[in-house]
This record gives sequence, C-alpha cells and structure tokens, in this order.
Amino acid sequence: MTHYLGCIAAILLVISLPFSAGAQAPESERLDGPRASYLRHLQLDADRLELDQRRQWRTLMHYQSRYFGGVKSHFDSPSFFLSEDGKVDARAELQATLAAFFEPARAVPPGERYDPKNEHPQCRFRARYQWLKEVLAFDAERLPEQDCPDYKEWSKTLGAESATLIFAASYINNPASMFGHTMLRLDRRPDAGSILTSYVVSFAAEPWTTNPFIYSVLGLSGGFDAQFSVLPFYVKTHEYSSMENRDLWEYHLNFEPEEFERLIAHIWEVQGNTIDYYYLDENCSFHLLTLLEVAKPSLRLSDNFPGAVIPTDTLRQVLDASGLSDRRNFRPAQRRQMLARRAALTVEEVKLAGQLGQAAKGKAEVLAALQDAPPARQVEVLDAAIALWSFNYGSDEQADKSWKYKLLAARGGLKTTSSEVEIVAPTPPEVGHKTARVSVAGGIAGAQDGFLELGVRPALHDLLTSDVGYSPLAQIEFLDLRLRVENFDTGIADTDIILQHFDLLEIISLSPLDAWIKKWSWGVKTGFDRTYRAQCPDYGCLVYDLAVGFGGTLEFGPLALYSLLDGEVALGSTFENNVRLSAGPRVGGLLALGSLARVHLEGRYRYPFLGEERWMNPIPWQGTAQPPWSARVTVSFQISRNFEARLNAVEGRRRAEAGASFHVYW
Amino acid sequence: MKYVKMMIAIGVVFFGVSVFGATSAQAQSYGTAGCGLGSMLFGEDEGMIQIFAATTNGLFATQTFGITSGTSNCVDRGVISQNSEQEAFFEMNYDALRQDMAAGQGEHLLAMGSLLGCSAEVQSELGSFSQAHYEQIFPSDHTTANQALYSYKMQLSQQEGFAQACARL
Repeated sequence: MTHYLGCIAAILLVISLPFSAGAQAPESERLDGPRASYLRHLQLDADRLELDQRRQWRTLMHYQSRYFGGVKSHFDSPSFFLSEDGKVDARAELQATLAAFFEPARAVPPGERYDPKNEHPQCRFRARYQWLKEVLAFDAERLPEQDCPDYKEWSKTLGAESATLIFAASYINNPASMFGHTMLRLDRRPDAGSILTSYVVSFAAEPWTTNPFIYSVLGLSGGFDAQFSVLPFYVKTHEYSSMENRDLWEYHLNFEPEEFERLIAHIWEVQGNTIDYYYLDENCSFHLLTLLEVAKPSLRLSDNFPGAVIPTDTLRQVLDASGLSDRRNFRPAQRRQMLARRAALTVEEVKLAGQLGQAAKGKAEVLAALQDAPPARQVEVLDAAIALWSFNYGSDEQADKSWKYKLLAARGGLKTTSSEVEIVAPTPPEVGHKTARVSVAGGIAGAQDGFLELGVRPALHDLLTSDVGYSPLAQIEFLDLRLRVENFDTGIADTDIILQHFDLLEIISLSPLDAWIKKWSWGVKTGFDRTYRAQCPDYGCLVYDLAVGFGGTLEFGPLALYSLLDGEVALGSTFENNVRLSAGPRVGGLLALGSLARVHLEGRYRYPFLGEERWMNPIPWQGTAQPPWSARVTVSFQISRNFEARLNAVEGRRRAEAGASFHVYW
Repeated sequence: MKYVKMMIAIGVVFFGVSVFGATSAQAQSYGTAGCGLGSMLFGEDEGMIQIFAATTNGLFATQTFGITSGTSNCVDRGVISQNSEQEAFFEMNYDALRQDMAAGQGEHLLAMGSLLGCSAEVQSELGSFSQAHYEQIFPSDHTTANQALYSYKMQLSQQEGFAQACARL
C-alpha cells in the first residue's frame, strides 16, 4: 500500500468530502407556473417512454436487477442519488433528477474552495443530464441550461482524447497477484501533455487498517468503502513499475468522440461516491466495465458476471467485444528493464555491475577501475548498475543515497546518450487459459479399487498448466474441490461418494535464485484433505490442514529444481488429541517441454512430532506404521488453450494410486 | 454466497494470523517539494497483508491519500492544478528523472519537457543538456526535488534556444 501525503492528498480532500444527503426534490409548487408545468410535462414524457426501464438509465445509475424483481444500485453513498429511494427505485430517481434540473442557478462566491455540494445538479450529474436532455429534447427556454464551469475546467485539465485499459500483471514472487488489476487511462491529446501526465481512473477500496485480522474480515465482508479515484498515470507507474515491479499491459480502446465525452462526464459524476467493497462480487474490474458500458451502450460486458470477477476475465470481455480494442502495448517494469540491460553485458561486466549496484555502498575503487574501459562499455555497465541499485534500494528510504548519486554523476559525466534497451515482451495475459476449471479423473487406488473423481476450481492456475499468459513457476488455487466416487468398479451397492479434497487456498511461488535477484521460494496451503492411516478406512480420513513452506529454486533452462522445508498443522478426530504437527522437506523438479507438456516430480517427507505414532516404534494393535514419505509424478499435456490431459501416479504411506484426468478451462 | 465468503474469511484469517502475525507499515518519505508530497509504502516483505491485498485485487491496489496539515492549493477539482504540475511531477518521479537525466534520455525526461512547455524541436536536446549540466542541477545527494527543479529551469532559461522554445520555464 502506498500513501502519498500532502499535495496530491488534497485530491481526496476535494472529492471525498461528505456530500449532503440526497437533495430533496423541490416540490413542483415551488417552481413558478410555466416551469412547474414543463417539469410535469417532462416527467409524464419520461413515464410514457419508460425511460427508467431503459438500459442507459440503468448503466448510468449502476442498477442491477434483483432476484425478486426491481433494481438496486451498486452505489451506497446518498450523494449519488437525488431521490431518497434512488438506490432501489429507478423511476423515483429519474423523476427527482428531472425536478432537480429546474433548481435555480447557484452563485458560488469567488475564491470559495470547490465543493461538489455547491454544484448545480445539472453539472454534478453531467452524464445523466446530457442523456435526459437528448431523449426528452429539453427546451432551453423553459429549462435553462447551467454553465458548469467546474466541469469544463476539470475536463480541460484532463485534456483527454482517448481511453486505454491498463492491466497490471503480478508481483514477482507473489502468485496471489496473478489475478492482475485493471485501470482506465484517459490519454491526453499530444498538445495537452504526455502519456505519463495523463490521468488514470481506478476503482479501489480504502482500507483504514493494516491489522491483518480486521483487514481480512472487512475486505471480504464489505466493510471497506471503495470509490473511483482519478490520479496521474505517473503516480501509477511509480507504484507499479518502480515499487512493485509489475509489468503493465495497455489496450487502446476505440471510442467515438461522443462516446468518449459520455465516459468523461460519467467519471465526473461517479468520482467521490462510495460503494461497499466486496472482494468476491464487486471489485475493481467489474466497476470499470460499467464505465465502459455507459460510454458505449451497445456493450454488454457486466451482464456476463453473475458472481466473482477476475480481472483477466474482464480484460478478455473487453477484447472480445468487437472493434473495442485493436492495439496493445507492453510497458515493462523496472526489474525487466534491469535484466535486459544485464543481458547486454559480458560475464566480466556483469560482475562489475553487480559489485557497483548490489551493495548500498559499492566500492569506490571498482568505480575508478571502470574508467579504464571504453566509454561505450562504461555506459552499459553503469546503466545496469544503476538499475540494479534502484531495484535493491529504490524503495528503501534508509539506504545511503550517496552511492547512487556517485553512480549517476559518473554516468552523467560520460556525456553519451544511453541506447534504448531491447525488451522481449512475455505472452500477454489474455492469451492464457481461462480462469475456472472443471475436471474429471479416473484411476485405480490401492490394489484394485477403481475411482472416479469430479473436480471444480473457480480460480486460477497451477504449476502443471501451461504458463502462457501467466507468471512462470507460480501457482494460486482457490476453492479447489474434488469429489470421489469410490469402489466405482465393484458394483453400485459398494460405491461411496466422498469429499477427497477441498482447498480454500494454495499458493506456490518458485522464484529461481538469481545472482541479482535473490528471492526465496515459498508455499502456503490450507483446506481439507484425506490422510491415510491404519485407523482410517481405505479411502482415508478427512482432516483440515494448514501447511507453510520456505526454500529455494534453481532454474536450468526449461527445468526448475526446488526444495522447500514444510511445516504442517492438521486437525482431525483420527489424531491423538485431534491434532497432528509435522514437518519435513519437499523436493521436486518441474520440466517444461515447450508449451505442449510438463513433467512434475515431487517427493515429501513429513515427520510427525505430535498426534501420530512414530513409524520407528509402531504400536502393535494399530497395524504397521510406515515411514511418512510420499512421491508423486504428473505429466500434463496441453491439448489446446483450454483443454488439458494429465497422467498422475502417487506412492506413499498406505496409499498408491494412478490415474488420468481431463481438465477444461472456462 | 455469504456462507462461502465467511468460510474464506475464516480460512484466510486463520492462516494469516497464525503464520505471519501482525505487520506494520514502513514509513518512507520522499522529501518535500513545494506541494509537500510524501509517501509511505509497504516494504516488499509484508507477508500476509501483501498476499491478501494482491489476492483481493484492489484493496491496496491504489494509493490512498492521507491528509496532512496545511494541504497546499495544488489540487483543484480532483486534478493537479496547472501551476503545481511541474513540482508534483518532479517530486513524484525524482529518482526516475535523475536517472533519465544522467542517461540523457527517457520517458520521464520527455514528459518533463512537455510540462515545461518545450516545443518538439528542442525536446530531443533536453537529454544531452541535462547530462552536460548534471552536476549543477544535482549538486549533492541531498539536493531536494524542488531545488533541482529550480536550478534545472534556471539553467534552461539561461540558454537561448531553450528560453525561447520552452513556454513554461
């Protein structure tokens, strides 16, 4: 999380001041005769045309259909509505809106700080006004049009002429961010300024706590307010490219001029209004889609998302809409630029650059020795060293900046312009497999019991699936559920349906150790699984477990070898005192055969410290205990982008199993 | 749906609290410019919070702005007012600008050129100019963004070509 205090802080001060509660629609009687009758006329017209049922009104108000009829707006702040029942009553809101347009002009004293409260409704709800004016053909004689200097000034400052959807890829070493994040950039006209100074609209919650416990509960239960914010793009590039090292993908959107005008007007009227944030069904990506729909009413983007929304899915929605986007641009993060600079160096130069950039304070003699090299090589080495120093210490305020200053001064002193660095873009996120998965598997467990397994997993990606469009060597799985039909082959009478596995969350990050980027690998998993012990039936006992592991990964071309030390807590009635504590190493290798197939081998040893008999001193009446190791081999075949087959074999304590599975991503 | 949410919340909280414990934000400041910008950000090793934040995508995905005392008048109607644009940009992108100026090229340098109102013809010369005057613009490692911006504009306005081609020095 980043906090920018001070100057830009005023942005929120300006747009987050509590607005007055929905203005009371002035009684028609308060208007003079002709205007009151014109209002009545417009309201009747609106009813006759059933404007409150129109899609454009629904998108402007962010209404969603409710299960039992009627609508409900996503917005929760009263300032977004003119009628008290505006959140759930489309017609009342429309009638009240028409009435509010007749309010007398407001004189704001000069020098008064801008405040949305002081704005005339025609100006505050700019997009609504423009749409109603168009469909009802307002008569400027009887309904005077307000001038709206604030809105004009604001849109002039934006200076925007087109929109770009921006997708932020994941953090390094944090698969949790593989869902990505989306924003909307309002690209400035060339004469209004550069792309970096263009403004970006994003939708995000405003957590007011860093306590993980409160934070988690509130984040999932709608306890935070979220809103659209408008910030300069350079604030975002600083955050994403420099601080978090996340690559950005940019997708230019094609809007007609009048569509784009509608988009800007709508952003003006939504900013500063709040929505209760539920991560699972109302998140950043979903709400950005609704903005696009206001601009282009023919789009049907948000209708397709009944439940949770994953940013990569919304990105695909936008790209699938015909003609909406045709240009893509890749903006590499700092880390990728650094590695590209390093790739241009000789082995000796890499060592030099490492010595200059790896430590907060490098060796002055190394810098002095560098001056013997030809200037062109000095440039290359210094550029890489500066990039490395920034990568290591750029966000560390305690770091001694004097060394970086020396590097920069030496670089500036060379008086040669750096070359643009060649960066090969990875595969873009939209070409990756879809996010949800269903699987069917069959095989033999134990000596000859056949089983059939059905699985469903809402999100997102595991190590065995092709990483086209995803971070390599990273996995995040949510709510992975697998049900088994046991004894499938011995006749219907003996079959059992059991819960084989239900993971709430499993994350694995295998970050290859690199001379310049030393990141530990880690994994965390929590959910329900089966354990196989003498005391359990053949198909094991259901336990709840939580495991965490740390270790390292080495990469040799297509082969990654990793080793993690795991600790696990398992809860289940099968254990002594219902709990088992165990720990031990996990070692494995993952081989990618192009994008067609992957081979994964893994061995584990988990020594039980508590809750289970040690295997070296078996308790006779509990059957023979066996050493707590297991091994697994899986081969996956990518049949097509969203279709995959796997062969899988497991051998371990009291369990041997082999089977095949098919997976469909959708 | 609500039930599922609760399940996840409990699961996530359980593992969060048990594994990572509490975290704290690392305060960082970026010096102060005319606008009084500063920033605070999470270090990379925030563990639980960062994982959760990334997962929930959007919580923490945007900076939230705190309000400091004596907020200056550099923001107007939710956008940065024109007379503060240069300061805000120089402050926020101080590191990137220093690197671009040392390297004689880069996106931030070009953006700064357009904020200074420089015409396209002289934009390409800003790089070599910045390199040539690097030590004057950044005399020490304690030079603040505001001081550097001031001397940068001074240096430019003393050069005939830039003085005429850049409208907002």
